[in-house]
Amino acid sequence: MIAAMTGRQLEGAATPFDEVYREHADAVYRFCVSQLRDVETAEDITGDVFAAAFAAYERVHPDDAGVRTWLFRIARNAVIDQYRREGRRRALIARVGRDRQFADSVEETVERRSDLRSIRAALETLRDHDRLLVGLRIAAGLSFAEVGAVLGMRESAAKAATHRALERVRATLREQA
Amino acid sequence: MSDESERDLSAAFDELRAPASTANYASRTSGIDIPSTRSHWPQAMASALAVAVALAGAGTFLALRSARQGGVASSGAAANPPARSGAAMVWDSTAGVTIMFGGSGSNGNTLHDVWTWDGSRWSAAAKGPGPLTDVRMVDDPADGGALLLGVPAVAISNGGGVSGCVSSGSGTSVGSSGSGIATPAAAGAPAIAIATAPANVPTPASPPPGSSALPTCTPTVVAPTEQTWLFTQHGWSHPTAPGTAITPPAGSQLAYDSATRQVVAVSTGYSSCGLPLGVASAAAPAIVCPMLGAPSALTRPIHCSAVTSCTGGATVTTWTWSGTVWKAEPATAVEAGVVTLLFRDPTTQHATLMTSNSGDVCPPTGYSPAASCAAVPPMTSTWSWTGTAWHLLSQQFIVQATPSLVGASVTPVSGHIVVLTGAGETWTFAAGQWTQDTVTGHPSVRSGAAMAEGPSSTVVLFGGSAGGYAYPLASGVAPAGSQPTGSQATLGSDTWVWNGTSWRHIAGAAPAQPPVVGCPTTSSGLIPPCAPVPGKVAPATPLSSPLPNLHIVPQGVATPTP
Repeated sequence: MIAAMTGRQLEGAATPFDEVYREHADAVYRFCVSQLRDVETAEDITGDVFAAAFAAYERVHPDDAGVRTWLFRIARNAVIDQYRREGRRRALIARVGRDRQFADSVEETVERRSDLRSIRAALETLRDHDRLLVGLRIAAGLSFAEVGAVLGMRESAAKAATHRALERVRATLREQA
Repeated sequence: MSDESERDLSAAFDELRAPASTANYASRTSGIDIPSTRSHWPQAMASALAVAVALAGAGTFLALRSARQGGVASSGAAANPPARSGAAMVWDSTAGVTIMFGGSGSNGNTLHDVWTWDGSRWSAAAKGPGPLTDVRMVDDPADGGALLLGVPAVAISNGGGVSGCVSSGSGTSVGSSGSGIATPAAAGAPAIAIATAPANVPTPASPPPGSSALPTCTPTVVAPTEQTWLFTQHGWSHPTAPGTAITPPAGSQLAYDSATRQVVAVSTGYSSCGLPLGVASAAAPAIVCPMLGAPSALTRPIHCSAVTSCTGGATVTTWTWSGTVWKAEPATAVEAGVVTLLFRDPTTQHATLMTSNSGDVCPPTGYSPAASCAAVPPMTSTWSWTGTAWHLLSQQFIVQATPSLVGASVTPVSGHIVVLTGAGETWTFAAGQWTQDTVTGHPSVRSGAAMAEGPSSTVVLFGGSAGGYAYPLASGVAPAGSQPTGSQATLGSDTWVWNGTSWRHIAGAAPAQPPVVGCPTTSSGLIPPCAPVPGKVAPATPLSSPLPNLHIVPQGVATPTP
C-alpha cells in the first residue's frame, strides 16, 4: 500500500548496476586518484567502492538522480578511511625511519602527465576537506550542488569553499613553477 | 561540470580511465564470502570499533579488508538480537540497512549493542558508545550514516521518569528512532510525558493569572548531559564534546532535510513551572520541564523544585545540525500540539512538522478556568522547514478517528507515517489525515517496540514489552497507602515486517501478555493515569486518545473557520 500511495517502485532498481558502473567508474577512479597517495591504492579503493555499492544497491534503490551523489558519498567515506590508514602508516614509517615517496609509484603508473603529477602534489598540501572539494569538482566533475550533497554542504557553501581551495592549489602550482 | 576557469586543472584528469580490475565488484564481494545481497556494514562496524576507524556502506567491505590487514575480528555474524524494549531504530540510506541501537534488556539493564537489518536477517555490529537513554537516531546521508542523540544512562535524563510535562518528543517520535511513543520507564526510549488527564481526574483548580495561589517554584537550568554521536561505516564518532556544546534536549525529534542537507531537531515543552497537575502527591519529587522559549535565553530544560506542572507556551524549538555543531534556531510561532511529528517529506525533500491539537482542552497560559475556555476545533497543521524557519503548508480539521499514540511505535516511510498502536492497530498518516489499515496477523499488544523503515520501503519492527504496568483504578487515584504493584514486564525478541499491506512475522518470540494489575501509588512522582512501575514498561493506555492537560492555540496563523 505504501508503494501504491507513493508510486515508488519497490522491486528492481531504476538502472542495472552494470550501467551505473559504466557511467560512473571513471569519475570515481579520477576522484580516488586525486585523493590518494598512489595510483594502486586509488584503483583498489575504486574497486572497493563499487563492490560495496553493488552489495547495497538493491536495498538502497537510489534513483537516477541520486545515484551519483550516493556513489561519491561511499567514495568519500572510503577515501577518508584511507587517509586514516595512511596516517597510521606514516606514523609507523616515521618511527622506523624510512618513507616511500608517493611520486615513486605515481611515475611508474599513470602519471605520465607532468601536469597531473603537479596537481596531485599540490592537492597533497591541502587539508583533507579541501582536497575532497577539489577532487569532487575537478577530478570527478561534479556540480557544486552535487559536491554539496556529497559533503553535506549547501551548494553556495560548497562553491565558495571549492573556489578557495582551488586558489590554494593554483598558488601552490605557481610556487612549484 | 567544471567551468572554463577550472579546465586547466580538470583536464589533467581527463585521460584517466577506471582500470578493468575495478569492474570486478561482484567477485570482490563474493571473494570475501559474503552474499552480494547482504550488507557488509556490520562487519565494518566491528572492525571499526577496534581500529577506531571504519568505512562506508561500502565501508563494510572496506573495513573487512582493514580487518584482514591487521584489524580485529568482526562481530558481524547473523543472529537474532536479544529481547528488548525501547530500542532506537533508523534506516541508514547510505548503507541500505536498518540500524537498531540499545534499549532496555530483560534485566532492566540499558543495552548499547548495535544490530543491522538487511531485509532478511539481523547482524551484530560493533557496540555503541555506551548505555544511553532517550535515544533518537536519524538518517544523515550528508554525514554518511546515522546521527544519534541520547543521554548516558548513568546521568539524569531530562525527560525520563517525569510526567506532567510535554517532553521533548511530545510522546511522539517520527523520523528518528522509530521506537516512537515509548514509555517513561523504557530505557533507551524518550520520555513520553504526555500530560494525559483521564476524564475522571479533575483538572486542577485554575486560579487567575497572578494569583498568590501559585506554588513557589524555582526554575533552575539543568546541566546538559546529552551526547551527539555519528554512526557511519567508520564506526562511532563523537562530533561534539559531551556537555560542552549546545545540544537539543534528549528525546528531541530528528529528521533529515534533504533540500538544505541539515538534520533538523525539534523539541517541545514548557518554559516555566506552574500549578500541580491532577492529584500529584506532595511527596513526589520535582519534575523537569523541557525548555522552551527563545533558545538564546534558555537553552536547557528547567527544573522545578516543587511538584508543579509545566506552563508557558508550548511552542516548538528547532535546532539544526551542520555536521559538527548544533545551532539553535530563532524562536518560531509554531506551537506544539497534542501530537507533534517530525519527518522528512520525500516530495518536498524538506523536514516536515505535523502538529495536531485535540480541540477540547484549555489554554496553558493564564490559568483560566476550564469552563471559560473557547472551544478550538481539532485540526492538524503541517509545516515545512525552509532552512531558517517553519513555513505553514496547510491546516486541516481532524474529521476522522485518530490512533492512540501512547505506547505506539511510529516511523516514517516514503513520506508517510506508519503507526502500530499499543493495541495492535496499524495506522498510516498522509496528507494530514489518518487511516486505519485493516490487516491480519499484526504483532501482539505491546509497547516500546522499535520500528523503522527497512529495505524496499518496508517497515521493520523488533521487540517491545508487555505488562509491568498498572491501569488506573476506577477513581483514577491510587488508594492511600497502597503499594506499587505490577506484573513483571516481559520483553519480545520478535521481528516483524510490514510491506504496506500486511505484517509478516520473521522470527523471535513475542512478549508474553501478563495479567492486568492495579494502580500503584504515586511515590514515583508520576501523575495518574498510572505511572509505570519503576523498572517496568507501560503498554498502550486504555484511554481513547492521548489528551494532554494542555491547550494548544495556533498562533501566528489564521484561525480556521469551522
